[in-house]
Amino acid sequence: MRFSATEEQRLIDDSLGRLLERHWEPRRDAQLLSGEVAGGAVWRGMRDMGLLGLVVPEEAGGGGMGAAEVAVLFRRFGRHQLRSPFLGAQIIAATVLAHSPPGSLRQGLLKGSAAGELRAAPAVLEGGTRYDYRKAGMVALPGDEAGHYRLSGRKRIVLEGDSAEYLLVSCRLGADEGELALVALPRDTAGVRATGYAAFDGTALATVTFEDTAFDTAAVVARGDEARNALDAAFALGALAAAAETLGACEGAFERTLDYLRVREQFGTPIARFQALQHRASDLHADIELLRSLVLGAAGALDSEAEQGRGEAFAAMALAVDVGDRVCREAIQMHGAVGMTLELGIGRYLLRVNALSRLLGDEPHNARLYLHAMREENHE
Amino acid sequence: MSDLSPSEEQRFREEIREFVASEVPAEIRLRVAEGREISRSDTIAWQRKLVARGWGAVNWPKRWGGTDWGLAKRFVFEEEMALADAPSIPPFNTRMLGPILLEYGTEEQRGRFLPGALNMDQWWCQGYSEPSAGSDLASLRTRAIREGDRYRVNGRKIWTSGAHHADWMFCLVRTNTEVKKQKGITFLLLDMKSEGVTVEPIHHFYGAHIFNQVTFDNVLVPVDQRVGEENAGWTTAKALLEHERLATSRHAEARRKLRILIALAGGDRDGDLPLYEHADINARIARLAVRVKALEYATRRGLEMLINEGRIGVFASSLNLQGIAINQALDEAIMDVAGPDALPADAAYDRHDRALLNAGDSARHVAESRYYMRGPAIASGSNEVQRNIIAKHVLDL
Repeated sequence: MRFSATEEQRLIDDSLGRLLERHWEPRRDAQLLSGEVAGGAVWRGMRDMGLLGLVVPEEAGGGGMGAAEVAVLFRRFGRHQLRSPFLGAQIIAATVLAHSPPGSLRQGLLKGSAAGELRAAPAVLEGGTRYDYRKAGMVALPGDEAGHYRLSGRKRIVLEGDSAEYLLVSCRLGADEGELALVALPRDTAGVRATGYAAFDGTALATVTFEDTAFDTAAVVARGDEARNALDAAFALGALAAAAETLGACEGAFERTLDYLRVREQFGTPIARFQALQHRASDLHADIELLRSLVLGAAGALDSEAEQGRGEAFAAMALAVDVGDRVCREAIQMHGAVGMTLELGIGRYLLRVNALSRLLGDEPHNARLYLHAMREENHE
Repeated sequence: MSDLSPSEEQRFREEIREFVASEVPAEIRLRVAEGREISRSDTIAWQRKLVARGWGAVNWPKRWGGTDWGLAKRFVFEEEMALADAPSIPPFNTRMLGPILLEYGTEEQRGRFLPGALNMDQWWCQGYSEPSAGSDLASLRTRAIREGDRYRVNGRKIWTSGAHHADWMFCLVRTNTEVKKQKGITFLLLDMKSEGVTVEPIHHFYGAHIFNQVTFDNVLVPVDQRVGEENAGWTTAKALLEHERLATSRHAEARRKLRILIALAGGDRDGDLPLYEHADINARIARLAVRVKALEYATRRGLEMLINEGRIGVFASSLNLQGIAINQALDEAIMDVAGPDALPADAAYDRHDRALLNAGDSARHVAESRYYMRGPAIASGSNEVQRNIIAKHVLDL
């Protein structure tokens, strides 16, 4: 069965829920940046539960689990408004590495990631190409010796790029039209400068500048088609995770809003009695049901038919952007004036879902990726 | 999630496609693809081919000509039939009356009515709505008074789909006015050729004749044509099997429309570019494609609920709202992309070669289809009623 949770998934969901209830208080923890959450009680708890290595293959010390489990985790994150470096390090970077060919660097990074000892940040996006993770314009020019390169240029929107131990950098080897490569570099490599800043939802981002940064082929974890495939897999799973987190945010915001409608009285009656509000709430419910179906369905497709599933992960994110924005906006509106306050915090859901769509792509972007994948598959 | 293995399911789908391709004349398949009406005689002819193949009533037990298939296999069957441009059989005979007789009818009634319902020797219609009982169906007033071994029926039914084709009607009548409105309703089977039955057409605003008004003037109905106990008709009518509620999502129809939309958009040019390459149209199609996929999964999720829990409950209301909204959005997009090819009225195609009227080779009769889909948003619980149901039963508002 694809849509109802397995026993194991329910167990993960329950224990993660308990962990977050105990150690994560959005109001108190709102001043933390996502990178700072690593090392805290929630992060340690997830490490102890084996969740940090969720997508890391078992031979590298991970859980070797799939998209369905990723969806379980991120729904929880969304519902509890957790802020953490999970998406960049434990999903996107770990999936890139998991899909890279065997090698000691890959193995070490995956093991460290699963054990919570080190994080890698995907440094893939560049200026002027928005969400297109496939476009690597940065070139690593040949160095003085064979197999040595020197990298110059800039990567943007690097998730937790100023606190991760490693950067996973996409670039062209040798020349503008050179082979695509993914290079793992310690952040403290000479010639790497990460400028950190906060996004409007508290995500720690960095612009990373490379100035004549030297590396050799030992640092290349994947190249050519393998690199492309690793990026496709990673960003598809990233899109699914973001869609699931958006779903969780919708569920959390919507439940709080329903509670409020039942207790808030105006004109001598609970405002839940007003049919105008009931119908709006019902429409939101139907939208959330549609999104829930697609997130669960796409997760199942990713796990059973990876190629087709990738397109569907983008479909899930496309719908999530639309539904998430609407539900979280309406949550504010239905709370009235108090919905605007930092104190109540219902608006944090909106900040988060909007930030996710700036990170993984807006609705048109993701819908286009899906349509393209669908037509390829149908040979239209 | 099927009671078929993936390879068995694949073979089964191919079998269905081959059957449709060989048994439905190309001209009829085209009419279906175009969203045009299929005549009464063509519909009956198709049903009889299905019966001969053993597929006439896949939701019935084998004993009565059904299949004994599980829910998942029936789902695959219905989905694939719709995708293959097979004519759709009206639901009244095998999907509505059949299950009701199987559950509430007497053995005598089953023997008398099921074979004709299966083979369509009798075309059935459903007499539920009345002029003053629409969304509030239980307030219906068509009166049936017991006179010995007959009921004398007076009143009026409205929005009766296909009554002008029908030989028989299953209907709800008021047998007690003294009790709570749901408690005084009886379920009757009524011969449309009875004296005192008048059928008058009600045309859709775009011309189609689907609906009718049916008047009963002292129509006599034998008591042995009552299904279930007197005054228990509301329960009978509501027991329409849960799995029928999956169909309200219209997901296979949506997938068909998406296919048509993409084909149309690849044809015509506006300015220098094919429509498909215009950013706005491409974005609109992409957005719809996402929703069609979501609707497909939502429907499969409903099927999983049915298999696991035996019911879909109020999830059906979300399916209904989304299915209608997505189908309407697809129809609107098809009409926009078809542009001037959408102008000829359905009837114009009866008189002229299609090439003279319509340059797009797979363009359907988009205007009519679009307007047709306004109907489901009103029928069997309008969008507003579905929202009330969700608010009350799920959201506890």
